[in-house]
Amino acid sequence: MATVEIRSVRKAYDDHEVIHGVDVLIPDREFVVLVGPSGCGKSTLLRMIAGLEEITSGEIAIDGRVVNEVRAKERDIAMVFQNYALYPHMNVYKNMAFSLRLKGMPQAEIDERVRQAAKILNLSELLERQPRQLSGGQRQRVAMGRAIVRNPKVFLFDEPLSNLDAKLRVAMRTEIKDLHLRLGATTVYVTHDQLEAMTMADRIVVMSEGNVEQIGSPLDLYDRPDNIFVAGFLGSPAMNFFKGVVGRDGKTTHVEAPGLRLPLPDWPDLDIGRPVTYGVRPEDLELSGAPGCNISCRVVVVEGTGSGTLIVAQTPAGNLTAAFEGRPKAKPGDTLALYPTLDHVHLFDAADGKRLGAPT
Amino acid sequence: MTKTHDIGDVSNDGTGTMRDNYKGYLFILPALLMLVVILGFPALAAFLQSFNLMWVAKPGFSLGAYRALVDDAEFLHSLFNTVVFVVVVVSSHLVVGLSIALLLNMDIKFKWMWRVVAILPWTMPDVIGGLVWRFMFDTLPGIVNSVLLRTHLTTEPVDWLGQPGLAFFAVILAESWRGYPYVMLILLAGLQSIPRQQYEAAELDGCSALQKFMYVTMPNLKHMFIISLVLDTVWESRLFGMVYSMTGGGPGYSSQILTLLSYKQYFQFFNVSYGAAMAVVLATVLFFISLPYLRLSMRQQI
Ligand SMILES: Nc1ncnc2c1ncn2[C@@H]1O[C@H](COP(=O)(O)OP(=O)(O)OP(=O)(O)O)[C@@H](O)[C@H]1O
Ligand SMILES: [Mg+2]
Repeated sequence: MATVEIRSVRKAYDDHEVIHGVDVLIPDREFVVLVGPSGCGKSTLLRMIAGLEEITSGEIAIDGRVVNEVRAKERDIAMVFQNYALYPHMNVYKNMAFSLRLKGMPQAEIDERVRQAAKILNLSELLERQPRQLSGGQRQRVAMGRAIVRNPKVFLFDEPLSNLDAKLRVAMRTEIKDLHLRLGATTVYVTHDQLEAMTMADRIVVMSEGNVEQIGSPLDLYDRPDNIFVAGFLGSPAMNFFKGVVGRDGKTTHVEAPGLRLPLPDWPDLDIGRPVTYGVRPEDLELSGAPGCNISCRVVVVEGTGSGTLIVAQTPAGNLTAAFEGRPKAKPGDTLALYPTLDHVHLFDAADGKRLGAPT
Repeated sequence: MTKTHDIGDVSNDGTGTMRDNYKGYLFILPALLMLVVILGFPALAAFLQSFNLMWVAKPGFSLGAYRALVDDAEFLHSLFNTVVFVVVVVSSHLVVGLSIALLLNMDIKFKWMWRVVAILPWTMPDVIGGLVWRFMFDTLPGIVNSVLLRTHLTTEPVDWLGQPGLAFFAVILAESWRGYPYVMLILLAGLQSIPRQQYEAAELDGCSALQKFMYVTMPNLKHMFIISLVLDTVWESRLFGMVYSMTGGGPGYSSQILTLLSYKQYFQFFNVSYGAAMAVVLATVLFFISLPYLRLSMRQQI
């Protein structure tokens, strides 16, 4: 078990920099998820921790020891790859035992560890199978077993579930999380799926284009995103954004978007006329509320999800999505008044996208 | 591995209706006919000739040609030569081919250029290759002798192609050079299809470079190895032009291989059934050698 410290780490391929100075401190036993859109550098960062990729500048320390110059095999790290990377000519048992055999561990101990891991992962019946005789989910578990038997300082996962079907993905999500609770190993987990990040992480690191956008607990990031990127990335359906300027009408402030007046709660230090982006999550739109504090719109699509309903509606300033529990009566063409939950409204600076204070 | 799914009654997994199957055969019929004419007919003709049944003065079934083979010292020597030749040449192709494939698979500069250079020997027609090597091994102006003389490894030029043992050695050397790119290409394709993650997983599992070679490269390359072993064995057993143009099988019949002897008997001495019998023996042996390859391709594991 160990801490992982990433300090001002940069990575360049030839002259092309893809990671622009990243700092993350991961305490012992924490489950950290690196999340971000494709190509933002998640895998690269993970591979630098593993030692599969050189660190261009900055430092990575595992358990307090700087590992920049330490070879991958001496870092005592286990990694689970997206395509599992099982050894195709070894059966399940041998795949799991391989690293222990290389270390010269006594056969009895190898056997005990492999059987123990197989039990945890429900693989006991499959030990004699070849990888090609396994389903995707089983291969995935073997890949995890291969990591577990080593009892490494740090577990690394690179999109381990993205080759699985939706149902299995949810099941494996729980299994991995459960495993983490049992083993308590420091874990860095890469995904581009925000839902995976939200459900699994102790802390989420949101990345974009080689930078860290925000680090925090899932709910922290969800409730108080630092910027438009994080606000838009976490949550599905995504947050609704409207560009506009701050306006005042008598005692109440609002955001004036083209053809649309968006209600605001009391907000200190807000200059009238300031260009801002107004953000409200689909589930923070209600069908009733304080008089006048609504957005008027025309329903375009109604999507029942079974447990709830999504309504896509048109406003003069662009489309918005609203999410409801139950099945509100609305059909395409209806005019609807939606009431934002005022203390869940987000404001961002229109120029740099940074979050603006908070309502009182 | 791909799975096929039945969608309605469209079926493409080999269990189609009879009518569908006929259609499939219709499509390959032209190619099949060509194969029968080009391959099947000569093979059948040679087979019949070897039993004295076709294109001979007095046709009539006879095992005479085969009986004579057993007592023919030249045949036995050529057979022995062929085995030695094939074993040595194919082994060196595998060793050289694998080594060069490994080098070309690394991150080197000007990769494409090295690949082109490495394939060059194979682009040379074997008759031409034989001639070039003949000049190189020549007693006086040949480059081999001039290098040996300049470096004072010998004081006299060596008559490479004029001495029985040396001539055979020279032919083996020349063919080892000419034929390795074929094996190299197959193995290089195999190397390139090994997922990088397997090496990375091995690295994290604690493998040294040598252990990665043993536990990742070699097992993944096994099929390609078998394939190149079989194909190259068949290929080299059928070799003709290189030896023909380099030594003509001589001196005496010291560097003679079966294809050459069969050719001589058939086309120079017009011992039709005798030459054909040798070809049939060779073809039979090659058929059994290629069985593992056939089995692999049937299982579609290539
Ligand atoms: N070997 C390489 N050479 C050059 N550029 C590379 C190399 N590997 C990655 N990159 C670049 O680095 C950037 C980050 O890549 P990385 O694989 O870390 O993205 P990612 O966040 O893991 O994306 P994904 O979700 O698609 O896996 C990309 O722009 C990619 O093109
Ligand atoms: Mg990636």
